[in-house]
Amino acid sequence: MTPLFRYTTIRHLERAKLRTALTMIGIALGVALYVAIRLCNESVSASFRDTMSALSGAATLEVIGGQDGVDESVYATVADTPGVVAAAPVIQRTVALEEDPTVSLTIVGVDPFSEAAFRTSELDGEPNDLPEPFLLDPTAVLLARSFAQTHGLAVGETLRVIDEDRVVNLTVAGLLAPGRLARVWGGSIALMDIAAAQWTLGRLGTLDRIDILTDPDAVDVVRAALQGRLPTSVTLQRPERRLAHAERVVRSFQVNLTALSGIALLVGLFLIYNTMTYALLRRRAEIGLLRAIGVTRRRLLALLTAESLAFGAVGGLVGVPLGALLARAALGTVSRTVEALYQGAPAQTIALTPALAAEGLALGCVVAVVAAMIPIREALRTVPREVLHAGWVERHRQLRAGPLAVTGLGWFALAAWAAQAGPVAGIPLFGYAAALFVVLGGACLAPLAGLALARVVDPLALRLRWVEARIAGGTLASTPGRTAVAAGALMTALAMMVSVIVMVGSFRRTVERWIADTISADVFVTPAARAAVGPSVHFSDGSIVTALQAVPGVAAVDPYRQIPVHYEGRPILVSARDLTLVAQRSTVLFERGDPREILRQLASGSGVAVSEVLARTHGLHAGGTITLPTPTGPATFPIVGVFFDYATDGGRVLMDRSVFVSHWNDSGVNAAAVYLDADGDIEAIRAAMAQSLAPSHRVTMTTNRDLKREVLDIFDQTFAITRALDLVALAVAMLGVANTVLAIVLERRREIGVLRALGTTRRQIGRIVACEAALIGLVGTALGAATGFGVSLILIRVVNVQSFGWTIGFWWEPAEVLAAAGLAFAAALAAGWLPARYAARSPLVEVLTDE
Amino acid sequence: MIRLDHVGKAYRRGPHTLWAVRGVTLDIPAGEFHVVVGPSGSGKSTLLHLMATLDVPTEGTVWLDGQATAACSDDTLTLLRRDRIGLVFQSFNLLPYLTARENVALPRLLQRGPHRQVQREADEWLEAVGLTARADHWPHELSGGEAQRVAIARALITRPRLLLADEPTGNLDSARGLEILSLLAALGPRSGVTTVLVTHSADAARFGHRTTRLRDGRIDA
Repeated sequence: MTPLFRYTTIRHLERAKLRTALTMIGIALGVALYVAIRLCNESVSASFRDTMSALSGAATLEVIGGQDGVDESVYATVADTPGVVAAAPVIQRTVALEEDPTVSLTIVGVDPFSEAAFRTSELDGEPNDLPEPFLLDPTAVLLARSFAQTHGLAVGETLRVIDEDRVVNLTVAGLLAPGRLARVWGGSIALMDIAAAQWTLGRLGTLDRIDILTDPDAVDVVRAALQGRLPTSVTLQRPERRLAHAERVVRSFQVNLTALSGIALLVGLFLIYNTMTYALLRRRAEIGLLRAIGVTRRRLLALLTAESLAFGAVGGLVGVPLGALLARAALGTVSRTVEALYQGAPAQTIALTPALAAEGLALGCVVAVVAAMIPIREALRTVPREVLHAGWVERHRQLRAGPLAVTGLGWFALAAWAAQAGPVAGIPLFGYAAALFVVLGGACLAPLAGLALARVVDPLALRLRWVEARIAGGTLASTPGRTAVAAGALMTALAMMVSVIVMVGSFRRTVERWIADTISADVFVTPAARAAVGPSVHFSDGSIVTALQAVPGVAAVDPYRQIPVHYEGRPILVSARDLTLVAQRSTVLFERGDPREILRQLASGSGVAVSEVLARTHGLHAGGTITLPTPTGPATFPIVGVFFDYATDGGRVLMDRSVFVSHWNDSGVNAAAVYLDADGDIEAIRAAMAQSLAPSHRVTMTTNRDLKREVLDIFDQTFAITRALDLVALAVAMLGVANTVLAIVLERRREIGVLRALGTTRRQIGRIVACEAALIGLVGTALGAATGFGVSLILIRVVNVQSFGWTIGFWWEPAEVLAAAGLAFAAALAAGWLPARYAARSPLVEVLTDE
Repeated sequence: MIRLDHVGKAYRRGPHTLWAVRGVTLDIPAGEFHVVVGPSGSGKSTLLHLMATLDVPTEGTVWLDGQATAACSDDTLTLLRRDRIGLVFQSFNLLPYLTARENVALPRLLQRGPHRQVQREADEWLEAVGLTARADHWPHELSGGEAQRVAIARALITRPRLLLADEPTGNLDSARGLEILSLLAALGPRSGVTTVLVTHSADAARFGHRTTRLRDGRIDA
């Protein structure tokens, strides 16, 4: 530490403890939020990686099948291929607990005798040490010890689970020692002998996967050898490919969260800018003096940069561990969202790596230095004689309100340009840039808005004989630069709040309308395991439809089927419905064209419809064709329409059930949409349906209203984290306002002293300062709300479209926007409380003699 | 009008107690133009602060219009200053974002006087200090002498009983200083106000009815 740094910077920071602390807390919060989101994202990705690698073990290649899995005979072919060191068959099925159908358990069927090369170390002992029933009892499973403890299960006890729609009895044959395998899916894993799993889960003759071990250097050679020997219905790939796919699926979600966490840092940027500006303003005489006694500009630059770096470093040092704490609190929400949306594994651990800690620290420093550069440059440009002249900086800054507003318009123009640009590697980078430019543009208007507000306040306060407001307005008008930065910080936070509110509100309203139009059946019957396992669960055949149709009071049943397929290397869904019935009783929302006519064409088997996401991402359109993989080989379908679909961001093809059955030879049903007679008693018919299905099917019946609510609940849960992020940004902005108003108070101690000497009461002084905070709040709130709408347009029309591909209508709830604006304004008022108190309590004589 | 009875003010400086003013007894009758003269550090500003109720004495009593200031609450003292005391500072202390007229009007606005009437009064006082033409000027557009005249008008607009001026010529050249002293000497008696002028300049004494000399915090007999 140089003597100059010690004598100037440290002394200065010591004297301005409160403001220094507020600034550092602001940076710390920004860094903490960024680190927390990065940690949550990392944790989610790590959980994907851990699950994949624990399940794949040492495998270097794997064979996977489509909807029907891999024929068992392929195993022998694989094992006999030269270069294959070992091969292990795997069956994997997720079931639900009967006692609580929302709890899932993934059964992994393995061959203990093939496992040694892959996952033996993860089992509780060598294969020979396995409990005897494991090999002999077709219901025997090994449970993770943690899962058994949670559910009060002991060795020898029976565990009843629901596989699709039927109850299966399993026997706990032993417990898995705590280890990597026992930790996947939070311990919700059961190991079973492969033959037992095939028998018990109704998968005789098929496998889900064959893990292959090769010499690491011979992977490509073995791969080539296997390619020629395997049937075309299976896929040979490296296990990492599944991980890459999973990570790609959640990437948009993660990028969005990271971008939102950046907002708090942006608000922090204003805070630093503000603090440095006024720290330098207060020290103008000191800077002039240092320059006068021969300190070079370069040395001053180093000194002041080091000072801002110190702010950033301390903020970063506090922010990084704080981020880890925040991450622990937020992980549950993020993980649940990823689980709900992408069927990911639950993320449980937060691991703050030195690299991420360094990244957080560096980010704090960079933000601090970048934000401080403008005020530092201004301070260095001045000549010593000038800075010794009081008030020069403020006059200098005041003159800039006009040109700054013009600059703001320039940012808006730039935003309009960036909004037109396409995504970069699938990420809407220019979209985010456009949002940032709108915020910067809004911030540039803050000084002019402050001046305009002061002009309005003055005559109004005069008329109302409200002298405190006049004085506060006078401060605003005479120090627009000073107040504009605080207003800018508040504006940024509110803009983000409003934009997220409008974006989420618009999205929600769009989804609400979509489900209102498209979810028309009275009751939805699904396999009971669906709640725990997800929408892939299905009834194995259409018998359930026949059974339901026979129930008195049931008017019609639409058997809904959905299977995942790969289209041009990306996973999409193929959905099949009775589209004649849909045309009669419900609808599908198409981008253009008469829905009834399109549905009629679809029902007649003339083609398929594709979702808008699929159309966008693959350049498909009505009138074109799409070629899909089917069990009998690729099949090409004409596209007769493009429909809106908000249930998946992966893309969907819709076809009539007859078309699906003929190509896929699959009569499974994921959900039966039941239409009741108009005059039927819904409860009585439900009871009759339950009674009719009870002997052979375990089902869940969801009413139309409950399903709609379920969809919206998932929607709300998805966006819960974004709201939390908004609040942290607002907290940082609040610090900004407090910091600025405090700076104003400190700057004007003498003036406040004069007012007190002239007979202004402490209460009046408090009111003046509170008015100043309120005026800053008004400018920030008005600009924030306006800018927020601009940003929301970009989020809806650019970021959403490029990230997910959905069409979202623009809609906002005035009450919600007003509540956010009110919150921001209240935050500004609350932020003024401390400075107001401080100002009112300043000792008079000390202030007046402090020349 | 104002009476100081064995007034003293001490400050603690580490382990030491420093008496800025001690044992001052002074009685200034209504309408008097009283000059307190003393060198730098003699305690004259402290004395003025005690008279202005900006500070409380460590010992003794300050009586203002027969009322002991020590017994008053902070709010009462504030209102006392607002309604009965006018203050003029060495460095003018005009609010930079108010025009000359608005600065003069401010104390009356703090009393919540009707705007039009306050404007009229402000104009009258600006006329009295010879600044009618500068009414709409900002403080930074005024010379030092003009700024101080605005400060005097501001101090007198509430028609105080007591006008306290702390080195009002300290920031002015000698010619402007004399103008200000003359103005105070003329306006004070004309408006019936008791004036206490604190200065280090012995020349100022000739403007007052009576002079008190301070040295090392005590009245120099």
